Amino acid sequence: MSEVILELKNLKKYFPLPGGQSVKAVDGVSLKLFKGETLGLVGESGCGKSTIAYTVVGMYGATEGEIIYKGTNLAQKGYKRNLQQKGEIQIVFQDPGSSLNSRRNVGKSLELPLKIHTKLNKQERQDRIDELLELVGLPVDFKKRMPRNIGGGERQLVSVARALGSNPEFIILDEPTSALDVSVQAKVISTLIHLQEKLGLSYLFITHDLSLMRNVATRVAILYLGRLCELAPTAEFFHRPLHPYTQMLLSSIPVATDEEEKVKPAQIISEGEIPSPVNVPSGCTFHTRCRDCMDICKVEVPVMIEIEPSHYVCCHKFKEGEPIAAEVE
Amino acid sequence: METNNNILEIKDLSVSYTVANVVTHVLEKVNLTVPKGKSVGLVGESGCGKTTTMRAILGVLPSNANIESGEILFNGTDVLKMPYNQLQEFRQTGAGLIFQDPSSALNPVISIKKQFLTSLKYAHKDKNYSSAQLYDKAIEALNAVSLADPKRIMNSFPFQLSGGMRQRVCIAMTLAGEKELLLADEPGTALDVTIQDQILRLIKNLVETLDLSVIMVTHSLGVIRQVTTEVNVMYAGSIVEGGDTHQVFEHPSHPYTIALMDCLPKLTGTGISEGIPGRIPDYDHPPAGCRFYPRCTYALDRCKSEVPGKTIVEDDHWVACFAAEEGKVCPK
Repeated sequence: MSEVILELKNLKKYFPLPGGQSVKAVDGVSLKLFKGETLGLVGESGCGKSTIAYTVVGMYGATEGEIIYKGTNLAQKGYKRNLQQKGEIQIVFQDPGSSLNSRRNVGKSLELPLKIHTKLNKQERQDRIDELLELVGLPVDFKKRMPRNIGGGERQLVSVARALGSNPEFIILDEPTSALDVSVQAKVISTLIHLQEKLGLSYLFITHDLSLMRNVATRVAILYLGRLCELAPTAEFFHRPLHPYTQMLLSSIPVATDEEEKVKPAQIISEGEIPSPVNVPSGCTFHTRCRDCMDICKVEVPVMIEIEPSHYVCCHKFKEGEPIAAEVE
Repeated sequence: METNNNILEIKDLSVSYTVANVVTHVLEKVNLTVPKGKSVGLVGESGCGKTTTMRAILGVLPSNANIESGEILFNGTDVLKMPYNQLQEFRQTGAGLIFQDPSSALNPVISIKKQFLTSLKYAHKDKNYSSAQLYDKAIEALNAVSLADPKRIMNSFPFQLSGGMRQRVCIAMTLAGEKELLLADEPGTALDVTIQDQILRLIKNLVETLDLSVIMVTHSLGVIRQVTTEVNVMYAGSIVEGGDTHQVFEHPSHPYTIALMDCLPKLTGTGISEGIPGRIPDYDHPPAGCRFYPRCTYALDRCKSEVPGKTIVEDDHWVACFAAEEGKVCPK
C-alpha cells in the first residue's frame, strides 16, 4: 500500500446549542487517505460531509480526535498550522459563484495565493497565472474576465486553478459539480482526473452522487449522521454493497439505462426520514430506517470491522472473521 | 391521437423576453401534448426554457415576456386567450404546481391547516363544501401521500416539517383540489436521493391509480426514465426529440440527446466523457437553423440555415435533425 497522506482518528465535531445540547455533525470518523488516490465521501444532506472537509482544512477546530497530516496532528489543542501546511491542503467549494470574489477579475483571484504562498515577483506571478489557466484548460485571456462573465463550469475551473496556486498535495473537493449541468460537469471532472495524473494529487471528493463516484473514486466511504457505515474500494463497493444503508442509497438512484438498472441491488423501498443530528438514535444510528433491524441494533453501537481485505463495514449483521451470509452476495 | 384525449396541448409556442431593449428569443415553436392520465417529461439543461414553458402554461410569465405565437389548449380552451377570471379559475381548479423547493412554496408563518384549507376553498368553490368536509378532504389527501399522523401535520407550521414532508404536503394540496393536471418542476432536486425516490414513487403511483396527468420538468434523465411514459428533450428553447420514454432512452437519435446521455456518469463505471463542447447559444441572436448546430459533431451545411422538421424514427419516437433524417447519426 502506498504512503498515507492524511489520517483521521476518531474525529468528532460538535456544535453546541443553547440549552446544553449539541449538534453531533461528525461523531467519531476514522479513515486514511493514501497518496494519489481519490477517496469519495458520500452521504445525504446533514450527514457531516462538509463538516469533515472544513475541519480538515482548518476552518473549524475539531472537538475531539486527531487529524494526522504527514505525521503531524493538526487537531491538537493550541496547534497553529504553518504556511506550508496551509498551502498543501486546499479546498474547492461547491458554488463557484460565491467562492470567487465577484468584484475581482480572474487574474487577481489567482494571484492572491501566489502572493501568500510563493516568493515569485510580479512578472513571474503573471507567467504562473497563465500556466495555471492552461493547466485547467482555460484560455489565457480569461484573467481579464470577471467571474460573472464566464460560465459556471469555467468558474469552477478557475477555483481549481486558484487551489493549485499554492502547489497543494491534497485537495478537498466539496461537491465541486453539484451546481453544474451534466454536460459541464463532465468537462470539470475530466480536467480534475487529468490534473491528478499529471501532478500526483490526492483528492477527498465529497459528493452525494454515487454514479459519479463509480467513475471517479478509488475508494468510496459512506457517511450517515456523522458516522461511517461502509468503506471499500470502488469496484468492490458497487459489486457487493453490504451495509443496509448503502443498499438503500444505491437502489434509490434514478438511472438512465437498462444496464445500470441491472447493476443496482434488488429494489429496496426507501423509508423514513433522516433523524435530526441533535437527537441521534441510540445504538446504530440507522436502525430507525433499517429493514434488517435487530434488537441489538437499538442498544449497541456497532464497530467498524474489516470484513474483506480493505472492505470495512459498520453493522451488527457482520462479525469479524465470519463469512458473509449468502443472501447479501 | 384525438384532441379530446389530450388534457393539454401546446402548439407552436414562441416566447421572447425583452431585457434592456434587447429581445431574447427563448422558446421557439414548442409543441407538447399531455394525454389524459399520462405523465410526460420535459428534460433539458439549465437555461433551455423548461421553466418558461411551465410559467406560460399557468400564465405567470414575468411582465417582460412576450408570447409571440402559439396556443396552449387546456381541455380545448386556449389558456393564453382566457380572460382574467377564467384564468384564475383554471389556476384554482385546473392545474396544480409543485415547486422545486418545497420550503419556499409554503408560507412559513401560516399553519399547514390554514394554507391547505384556503387552497381547497378555491379549488372547490362551486361545490359548497362545509369547512368540516374540506378538512376531511385534506386529511384524506395527506393519507394518500402516506404521511403519518395527518392531524398533527395539519396543526404544524412548514418549518416544523422536513423537506420530504413539505413536498408531500404540496402534492396533497394538488390532490385534494382534485386538479386534473399536475405540473411538477424538479420535484426531487432539492431533496436527498432516498427521499427523492419516495416522492417519485408517490407521483408515479398517483398517476397509475388516480388517472392524474403530470408534466414532469427536470434536468435529470434518470428521473424521467423512472417516472414518465413520454419524454420531450429540450435544447435552447426548442424540443429536439420526443416520444415514448422507453424508445427514446433505448435509441437516442438526436446528437444532443446522445451527447447528454454520454455525459451522465454511469453506475456501470464506464468512465467520464469530455462533455459537450461550447455552451447554450445567446438567445438574442440564436442560430438561424438548428440551435444545436454550433456544438453538433454531425452538423451538415443545411443545418446552419434551415430548421429541421420532425422525422419519425420509430412508431412513437421522433427527432428534429437533418443528420438523423439522412441516417448519419449513429449512437455508440
